[in-house]
Amino acid sequence: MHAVLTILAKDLRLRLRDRSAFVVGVLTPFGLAFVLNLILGGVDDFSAHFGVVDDDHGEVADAFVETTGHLGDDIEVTTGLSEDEARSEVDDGSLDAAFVIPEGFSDEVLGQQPAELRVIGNVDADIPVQIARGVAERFAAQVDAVRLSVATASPPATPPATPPDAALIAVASQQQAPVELTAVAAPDRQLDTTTYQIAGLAALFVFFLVQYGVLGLLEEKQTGTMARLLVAPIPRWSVVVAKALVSVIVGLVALTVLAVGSTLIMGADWGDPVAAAALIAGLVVAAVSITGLVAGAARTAEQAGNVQTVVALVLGLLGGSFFPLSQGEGLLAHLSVLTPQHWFLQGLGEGRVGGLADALPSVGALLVFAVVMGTAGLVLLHRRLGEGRA
Amino acid sequence: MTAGPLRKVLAIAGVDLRRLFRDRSNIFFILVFPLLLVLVVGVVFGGDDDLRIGVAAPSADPLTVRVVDALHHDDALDVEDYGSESGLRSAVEHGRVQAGVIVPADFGERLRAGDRVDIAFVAGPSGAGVAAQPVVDAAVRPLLIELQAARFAADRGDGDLDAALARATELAPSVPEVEVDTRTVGDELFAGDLGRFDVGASSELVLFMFVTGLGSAAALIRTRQMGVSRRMLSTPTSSRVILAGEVLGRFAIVALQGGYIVVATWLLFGVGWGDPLGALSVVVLFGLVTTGAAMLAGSVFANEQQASAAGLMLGLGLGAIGGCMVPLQIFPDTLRTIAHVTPQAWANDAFADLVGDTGGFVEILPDLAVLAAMAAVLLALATWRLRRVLTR
Repeated sequence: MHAVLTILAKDLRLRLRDRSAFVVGVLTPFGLAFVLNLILGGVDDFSAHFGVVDDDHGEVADAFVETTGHLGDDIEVTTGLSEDEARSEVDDGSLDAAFVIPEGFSDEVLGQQPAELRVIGNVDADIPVQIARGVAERFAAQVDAVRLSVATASPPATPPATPPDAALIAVASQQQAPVELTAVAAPDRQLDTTTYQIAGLAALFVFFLVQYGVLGLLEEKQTGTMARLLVAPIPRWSVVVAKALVSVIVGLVALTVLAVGSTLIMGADWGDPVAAAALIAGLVVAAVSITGLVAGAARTAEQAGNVQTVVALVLGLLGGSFFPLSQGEGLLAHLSVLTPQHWFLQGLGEGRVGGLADALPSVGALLVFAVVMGTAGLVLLHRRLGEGRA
Repeated sequence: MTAGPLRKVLAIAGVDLRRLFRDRSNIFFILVFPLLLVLVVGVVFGGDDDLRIGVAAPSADPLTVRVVDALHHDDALDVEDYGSESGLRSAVEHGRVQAGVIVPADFGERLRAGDRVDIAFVAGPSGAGVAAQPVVDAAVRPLLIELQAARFAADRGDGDLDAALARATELAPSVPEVEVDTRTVGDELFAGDLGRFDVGASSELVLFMFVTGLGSAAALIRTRQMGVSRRMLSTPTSSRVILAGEVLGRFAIVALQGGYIVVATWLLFGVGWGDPLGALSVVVLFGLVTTGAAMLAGSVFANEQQASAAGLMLGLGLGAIGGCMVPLQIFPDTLRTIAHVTPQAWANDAFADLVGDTGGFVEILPDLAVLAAMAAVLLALATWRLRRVLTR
């Protein structure tokens, strides 16, 4: 035990002196996430600006303009525009969409004629334009519903050209719809963009960071200091454990710094702290184990470093470090499940809603990675260290 | 008989190339990974814009079936049936579908009894969840109108909702409607004709050329440390020839990767790179910029580890700022202007025109000019520093 602590202390001191660990493990992901956050910062916030052109000024037009005033706080509405004004403002993007009520609209509606409402949308404002369309269509649907109600309730023998019974129309207009589509919110088990970026990048870079301890094993073997260590009256496993612990500690510290820093500086939301801590611990242990396996299987430190980078990038890509893969097609989504990054990110999302309890399955998955890879790695490393011992 | 200067330059460059490919992991970084990334980006982001929703409607009642059918028949929706409300909610929360529609099990009964019923719409947390509501609304609205008419008629008649609904459905096409005419105006951010893999391919190209180039800076440092350059100088070779050889070596690596990505993505993913002269010019000029930056980095950093860490950070950082990870078109205006401090932004602009077919060689000349200027400055700085450092 004492041997482990001594080696651990020495290695940690060495690592602290080497600033490239800090650059790679903390500065780079942080910097990247910061830049990406600047660029994508507002993407989760929704707001829209609509315009209203009323060329009719009749009753029905007034009723429609009235409904546009009740679209919620996220939507700003400017009324009283002319069609040319509205069109040019939508074109240059100062309005996302504009409603145009053509002249004669109210008369057509009241006269049971076909009528038309127009929506002019900005080609790049997909969502606001869809919402504007929805508003117009809902209004149109109310009118249609009244007309169809009257038609259905009228005696079948009525010749189609007969103007409908005004009293019937009046009653139909008062009727409440028997079925409505009502929106219900879902608890947010996914990370917001800012947090996702930083967590995703952290999950990628932790693999580069934990190299230092474990690959140090191979380096020392090559430079010859390992042989001297092994001659000392200490069990072989203590060397391996010490190196692994270095990686674990470095990883834990770096990720904690990233988590706290991003929360304070970028407004990231890592959710329940206990869940986040458990997930960070799980991820670091999994990363160290995978690194150990790579180190045990490689022949030289340089080869191990290169393979490690390859493994980290592929796992990161499939695990969603760069962008979420659950949006993708079936095969990719299935492959994603085989990466620690996926479980880390998913666990953080769950933890936001249900705390540690909901994050536990993800922590469990990470530990499974750690145990499986770690055991294989330990065996290989143990054997590797024993090689060349004359 | 000593070889002429040109042969020496080529020999020095050749050593660099051979050393690069002897390390097999370089083959992954330079050749395989960029394609992998283009593939994944294309698959994830380039696909159809259909909204994926789930519907939980556990009932065989004809009225419920009509609601589900209305959703399935809508072209803008990609609908998946769930057996239970909790299964659907879980799928929405986890992002497997963007939104969900829940039809209560007693939907038909309650309607026939004269009650009001709500169909629940559960929006997922992403922006797509918000977007799905008007689309779902539009998909079921005709049916809801018919139901309203049927209820009205049934209340005033014999109370048989299903018969009234059949009548309403029959009459619906002949009743004049209020139409909503939606048109779009404005300049599109992204050229309309982009293929699935096109958007990612050019920005990945720019990103990788630069990152690979900076990575080769580490090799340059090793050359210095191993004293190879000093040994080269001890032969009857001028420092100018050695520098030219190093520049050519770095450039060859970077340009090779660029050319390879262009050809490979074109062959494998059908990415159209536009005007060939334009594409070639961007690859060459951006390659020169990268070479200059890499050699400058190689002359500034003292050891390999520092260089690779800083190189990775600079490569990814400048790449992100320059629009390699998120397209420039999506940048807020001020940031987009600032982005043009980086060569990546200019290269991305040029490629956006080329790939999107909105411009050829002539249209991208301004971008090429800026890249050429940046290359000249960086190479001049690099050779000046290296001449001093190599001979130390």
